[in-house]
Amino acid sequence: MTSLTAIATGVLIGAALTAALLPVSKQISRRLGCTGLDAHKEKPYPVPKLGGLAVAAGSIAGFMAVLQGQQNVPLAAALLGCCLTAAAIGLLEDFRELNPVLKPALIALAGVPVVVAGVYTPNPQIPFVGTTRLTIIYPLLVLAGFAVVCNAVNSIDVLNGSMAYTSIPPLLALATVAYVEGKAAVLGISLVLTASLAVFLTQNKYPARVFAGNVGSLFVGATITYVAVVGRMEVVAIVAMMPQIMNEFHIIYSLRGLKSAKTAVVRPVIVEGGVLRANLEKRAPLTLLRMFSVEGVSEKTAVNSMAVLSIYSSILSLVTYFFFMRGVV
Amino acid sequence: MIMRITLYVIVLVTVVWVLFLAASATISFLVLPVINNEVSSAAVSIVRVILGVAVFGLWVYVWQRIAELWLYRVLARRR
Repeated sequence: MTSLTAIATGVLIGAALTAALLPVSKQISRRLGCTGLDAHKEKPYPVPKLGGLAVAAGSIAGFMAVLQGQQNVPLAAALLGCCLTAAAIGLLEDFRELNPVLKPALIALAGVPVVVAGVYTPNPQIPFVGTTRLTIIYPLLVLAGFAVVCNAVNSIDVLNGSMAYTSIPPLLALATVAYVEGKAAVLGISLVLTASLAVFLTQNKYPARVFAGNVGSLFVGATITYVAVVGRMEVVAIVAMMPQIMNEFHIIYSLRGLKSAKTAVVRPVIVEGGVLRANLEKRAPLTLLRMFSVEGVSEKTAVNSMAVLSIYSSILSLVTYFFFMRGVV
Repeated sequence: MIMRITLYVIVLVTVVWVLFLAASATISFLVLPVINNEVSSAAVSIVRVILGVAVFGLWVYVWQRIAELWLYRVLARRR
């Protein structure tokens, strides 16, 4: 059994290690020349972009502290396997742009440890319908889920703090459901990542001194998917992550396929004197930021709007769980 | 002004949420009996799966159309 003490220890270890490793990750970024231009500033400047390494290392140490009392090797192995695979793919992309068609296929590999370890239950709960039995297709849905959620988290990491601010509310919603259902391990994992992201925000919020990079966003996406699958909270996660999933879906739909938004001929948002303004050309990709910046907005306000939307969708996920899923057999 | 835009996007997310609940329940109602071998007729099974895929396709199309409508007709109507 995972005790409350183990969860508290994991949260503290995760937060402390992330704080300690953030300066190290910045140094590594600079030494390897892995910096990204903060493109939404009036005068763009380079920012170290491997801050996600600190989040990943801190969180993994915290996860292990949470799971140490579980004596469930497959659970811990699957978590390590999926998170490290996603982080490794993200790290690779931080140094070299991946083919946008190949990338989702690679990220789907992050779900393989979960499928191989068999730590899933192929009986997802659907609103109004209740528990279903998807023995054969569920493993395929797990792989697809990793690709969708990791890419969705990755696609919203466009502004200072946007990835962390929009990931914390869904994690807290998942933690709430895990607490109600007595699933201590996934509760602990959600809280450890929340703490680690909160520490990361101190350096990543506007004006950012470090970026999460693909290594950070794919790690966070993989952890959220793991929590959703292992905790049997798939629909709660989908609803809580609606802003991110919508953002990704509209980019894919408006670019007519799996293409990098960076390669779009028409940019979705134009920066004019530090103000973000939506490009209203029909060919521009439809993104969440484009919607928020339709009347011109500062980066800080746009991130606040994204955070408010994420809190709202997380509340909707709890409404879905408590009113349309709980008690439906 | 910004609060107004945020509120409009919140309304859009609410619409998408309602559509998601309706689509997932409809698809489950149509396809789950086929997956669970509860439908004896092959023809009925095929029709149910085709209808399920059609509902999914319709949901995706409506979702994108609503988002476009929201951006150009609701959010950007003053520009």
